[in-house]
Amino acid sequence: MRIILLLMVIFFLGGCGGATVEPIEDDEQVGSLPRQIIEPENNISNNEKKILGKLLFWDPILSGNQDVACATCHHPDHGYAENRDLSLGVNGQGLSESREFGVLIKRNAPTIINTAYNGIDEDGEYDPLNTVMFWDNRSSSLEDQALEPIKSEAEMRGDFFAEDDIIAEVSQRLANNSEYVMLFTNAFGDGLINGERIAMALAAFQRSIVSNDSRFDRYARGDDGALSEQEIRGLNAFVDAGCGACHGGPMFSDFDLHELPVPDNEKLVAAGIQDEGEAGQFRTPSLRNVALTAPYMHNGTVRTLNEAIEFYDDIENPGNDPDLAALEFDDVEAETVEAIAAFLRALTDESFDKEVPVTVPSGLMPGGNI
Amino acid sequence: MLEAQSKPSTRGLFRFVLLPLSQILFCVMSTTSYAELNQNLFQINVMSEFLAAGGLNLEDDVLLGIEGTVYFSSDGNRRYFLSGGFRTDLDSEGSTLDILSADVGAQFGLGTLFEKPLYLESSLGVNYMRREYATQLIERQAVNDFDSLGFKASLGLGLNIQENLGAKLYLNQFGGDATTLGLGFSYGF
Repeated sequence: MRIILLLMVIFFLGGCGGATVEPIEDDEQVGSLPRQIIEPENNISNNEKKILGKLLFWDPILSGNQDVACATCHHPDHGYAENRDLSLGVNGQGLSESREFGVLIKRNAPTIINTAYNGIDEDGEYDPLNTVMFWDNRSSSLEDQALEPIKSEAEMRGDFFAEDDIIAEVSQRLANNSEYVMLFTNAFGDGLINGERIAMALAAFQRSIVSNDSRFDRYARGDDGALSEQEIRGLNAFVDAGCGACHGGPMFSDFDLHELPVPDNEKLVAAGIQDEGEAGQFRTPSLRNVALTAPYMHNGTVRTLNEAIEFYDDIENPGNDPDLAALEFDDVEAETVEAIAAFLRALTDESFDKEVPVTVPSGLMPGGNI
Repeated sequence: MLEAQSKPSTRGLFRFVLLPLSQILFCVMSTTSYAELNQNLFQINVMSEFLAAGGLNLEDDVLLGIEGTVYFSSDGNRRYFLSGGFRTDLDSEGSTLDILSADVGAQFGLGTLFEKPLYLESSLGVNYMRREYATQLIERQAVNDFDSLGFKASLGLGLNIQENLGAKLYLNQFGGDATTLGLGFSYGF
């Protein structure tokens, strides 16, 4: 009897308190995005620059064969990414999963939404001129990144122009177009057109494609009703499992490179293309708007959000990555996967600019052959 | 494992058909005079339960509970009772789960095991469930609570170890939210 009474006392004492937060490292915490982006001092946006950048983004005049635009693989209907495992570049026809015939590109097209925040830490700080872009972090800013797809033979350049010549070629094309000359004049004060200005305009447009008011953002800012119970359970499970070690911060990314046991994409194997990334590592993608950007991983081999979550269940750690080793996500139950997926869907905010221009100054089809 | 647990039809069959059906079946069972072996009118149960399935099965894996039972009638091999209980999870980090429940049910004698009375127990009732979640975000500590009212169904197998002491293995279903497997020890008086 005494034992029972003792158990009762312990039980009641234990049951009296409410839930307490699980202590986690600052850089593993998640939170809302700032409402304002930080712009580089040498490329402060203005409306004219964004308009020019948007038209350049949609105009296939930037590609060697004038058949591919940035929007071909980064289309707003698919979260400024595409529903393909691997992109098809030059000589392709069609949009997203319907696209065919193009040159196979070795990676999945990442979204450009919120790339304005790349590098942001838990304090909301980042340097837009000293951050990371691409799956392998090879570019340091949107300006630095903007011309790389144009120079890529598979993505936009094709084989008619040399890599060193293509930027001069497209600059000349733009300079020969009176509407573009006017647009550059409005944006930069004069009609000079060169690679640097093309990059600056494209970067200014990409910096305008932000979505920082998801239901999770509202919850983090204090609106307790913004998330459902299942989504909050998913958030808790996400945090408790240690997902924040890599997917932490306001962008749900540490912007670091990690090695994961991602299966090979058979299309790449068949094409004899090897992609080792940066020494076998690829950057942690942001989970913002992740529900819009399936399939997942650098080679697009994980088809759905639930599969992407289950991928981490008892995951191997080929690179002995301490962040991956700390993940507590073994024998995960279906309800947990569903709850985390529900939470990740709450990171969606579709308030970004989805307007497709009716025409572009070149007179070519906006978005290229899509 | 994920495949098996993600089949809602199996879970639904168990929760909403088999378990309630078992209540009806046991109501017609009758063999020997189990009631004569158990004269205690009151019982206190201390329970430890494992959250085996359901949408809540994320962090609150173990519940500890206490239940009071009043036997109000007996009929040969059956004893009828009312009970009220309270359960909570021990680990309050991240989330807490509290469940209040009230049941009406019956115990049915199955004979003896090691010369101790063995019985099946079945009950139906209601539960009030309160969940609280606490998460450390960059901006704040978010704390949210939710509550719900639902049915409770229970099926147990018990052994009266001594005149006043008993042990019971049981299965509880709390609405569509949680299935628990538990072990309880009781003191009767």
